Amino acid sequence: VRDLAAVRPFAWARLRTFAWRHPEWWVVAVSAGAWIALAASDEDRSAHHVADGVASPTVAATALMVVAMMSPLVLPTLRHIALTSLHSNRHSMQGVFLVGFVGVWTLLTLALVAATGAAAAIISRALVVAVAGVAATAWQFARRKRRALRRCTRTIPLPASGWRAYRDCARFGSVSAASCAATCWGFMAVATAAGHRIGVMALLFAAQLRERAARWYEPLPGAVAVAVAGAWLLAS
Amino acid sequence: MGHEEPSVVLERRDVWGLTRESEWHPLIEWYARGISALQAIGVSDPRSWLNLANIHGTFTPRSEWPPDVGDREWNACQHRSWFFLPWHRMYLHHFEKIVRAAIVAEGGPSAWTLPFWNYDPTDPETLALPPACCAETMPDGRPNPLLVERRASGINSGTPVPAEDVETTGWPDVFTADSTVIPTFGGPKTGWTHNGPAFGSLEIEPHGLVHVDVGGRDGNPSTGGFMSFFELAGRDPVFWMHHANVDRLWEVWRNQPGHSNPTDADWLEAPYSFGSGTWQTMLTVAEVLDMTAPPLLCRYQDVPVPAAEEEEIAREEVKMSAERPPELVGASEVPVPLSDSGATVRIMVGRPAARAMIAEGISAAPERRVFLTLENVTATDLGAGSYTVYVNAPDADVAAAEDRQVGRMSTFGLMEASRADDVHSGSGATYSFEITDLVRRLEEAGEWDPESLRVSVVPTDREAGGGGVRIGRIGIYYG
Repeated sequence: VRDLAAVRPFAWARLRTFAWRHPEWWVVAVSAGAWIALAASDEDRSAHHVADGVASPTVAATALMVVAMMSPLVLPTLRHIALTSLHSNRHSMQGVFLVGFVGVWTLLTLALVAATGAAAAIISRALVVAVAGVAATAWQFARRKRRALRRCTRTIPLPASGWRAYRDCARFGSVSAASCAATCWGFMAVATAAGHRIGVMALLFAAQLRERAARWYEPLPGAVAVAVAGAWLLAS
Repeated sequence: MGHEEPSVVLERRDVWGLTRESEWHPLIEWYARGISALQAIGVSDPRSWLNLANIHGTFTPRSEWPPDVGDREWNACQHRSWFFLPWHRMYLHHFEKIVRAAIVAEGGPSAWTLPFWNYDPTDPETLALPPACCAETMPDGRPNPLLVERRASGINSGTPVPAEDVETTGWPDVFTADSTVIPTFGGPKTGWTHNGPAFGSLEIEPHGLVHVDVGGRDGNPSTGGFMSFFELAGRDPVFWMHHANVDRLWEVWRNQPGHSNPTDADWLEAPYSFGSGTWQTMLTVAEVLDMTAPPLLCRYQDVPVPAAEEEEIAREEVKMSAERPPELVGASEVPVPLSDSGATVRIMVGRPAARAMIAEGISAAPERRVFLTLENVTATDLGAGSYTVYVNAPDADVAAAEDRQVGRMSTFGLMEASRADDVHSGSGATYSFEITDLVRRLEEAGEWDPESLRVSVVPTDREAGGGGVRIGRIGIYYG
């Protein structure tokens, strides 16, 4: 009991220091929760997908998917926002950024859902997946993709306090989503054509994370991930 | 042209020391003759002068690169990052190896080493370029490749760089930090980046300041001095002697009490590659930390030996500073454009939620630190080239208030940091300064208002003019 009493304050201090140094920790937790929720509902989405050609998720389900797949990509930006905000605002500023970021991404994804749904009504689902896969693969080799990827890491100066701080932060989230969409629209198109099935999303998510760590001259690995995801979908 | 690696430790020598022995000391003359040989080689050859310069940066679009130049080979310099110093050390080694081979092929000494330009603020003569860098011809009558016309006005006729631009005092004790707020010696922790977020102290002064002092303030890449642009700097032979001195200053810093290099695996194991084929150099950071060991096998003349007794105290201070990130307590409300006379901004400081630091005062809490940041600084031009930052300086004559000066800001690299392209995000760059000592002095003198302070950023040369530079936000942090 004495040992436990000695350990508790130490562990609490470690946790507190970790939270200080990584104020974006809760975004990781929220994203992990979203992944768990998506995994739990994957069977339903697969069944729906097979029955309807391309599924039409609700706004909430789309936002959940965006939170899972896209919010971890902006963790460095969120950490930067938190560490350059007043201490009392560091979590609320991250939250406001995410509202702008997830909001724009959700709208874009719903537009992709509508587009792939309309395409699937005219041509086969397999062809939609193939077209999305080819387009996404081609984008991986474009120099504009690299420029867009670099743009994703952009930071801007934000006011420290007041309503303008939140307004500018929400706007920053929206602009970051637009930059991120210019980078990752191919991944999202394939994921959407695949009915947001968990395996495909996880594969593409891993490729997104990896390409953010790539040196600027390294080949972006997403093309391989898209090819594997497409082949898997077409074979299933 | 073969290349045998030296088997003994060679010494890089001070170019002004060599010059005082002879204006065209053999090490200087052979540097010029080696460059002449490399300038005669086509750009697709990894040994060519242009190829070596383009590794650092080039304006040539990727589509126009020679087919045998890979994506990784040009535009590779690391700036505003903890890789700034080790990357440039590897780059110097690669360069020196190729120049030495060219010299040997011309019949020169196999023990040739790259001289360093030790601009010493206490020795005015050394603040000018060595005469050999300004002469029209070499001793044999051939054109002198050490002379480059595209330099700052007057520099080729003996105008010295300002002594205040080459001060080497007041360096931070920490090499790096995972925060852009804490001033570091070597730059913040980053991944591989051509576009890091914040300058290390050495990268600002003397590195960046000397770049613009030699290259000038013309921000037009078609007419401006080579040294003022990432993409052209390597074309000026002075660049290499300047960076050799920056590299030497890293050794000087490391030999001071309490200073040490990072031990993070992400830093030590980072690999870099230069050149190609027979002329490829592949190194990790860990391989270049001990310069006297292979593969570098060199050392610098004039690096003071460390004094060990104060080491433990300084290490303890460093450890404390790294415990948790500093906390923002106040910032400017809107971006601050710098006019010809600079800018002065009043910042209202709020109370931090976590600790009542301000109310207690800085003097009462010796472990507390105060930082000033100039964040997301962007530029469309080189502006005044160099700015000096003051806190609570009197409006009447800001520049005279030397005791209120907190640091310097160089615009070298700012235009590049402000562009959105394949390798830059367009965020600009951050400069950070520790102002704890100044705040303590003001507090003790009863001149410190903990809820308000005034920050002035003025051109160091008041006649320089400026324009084209904008500070995104000025922040005050307590740590």
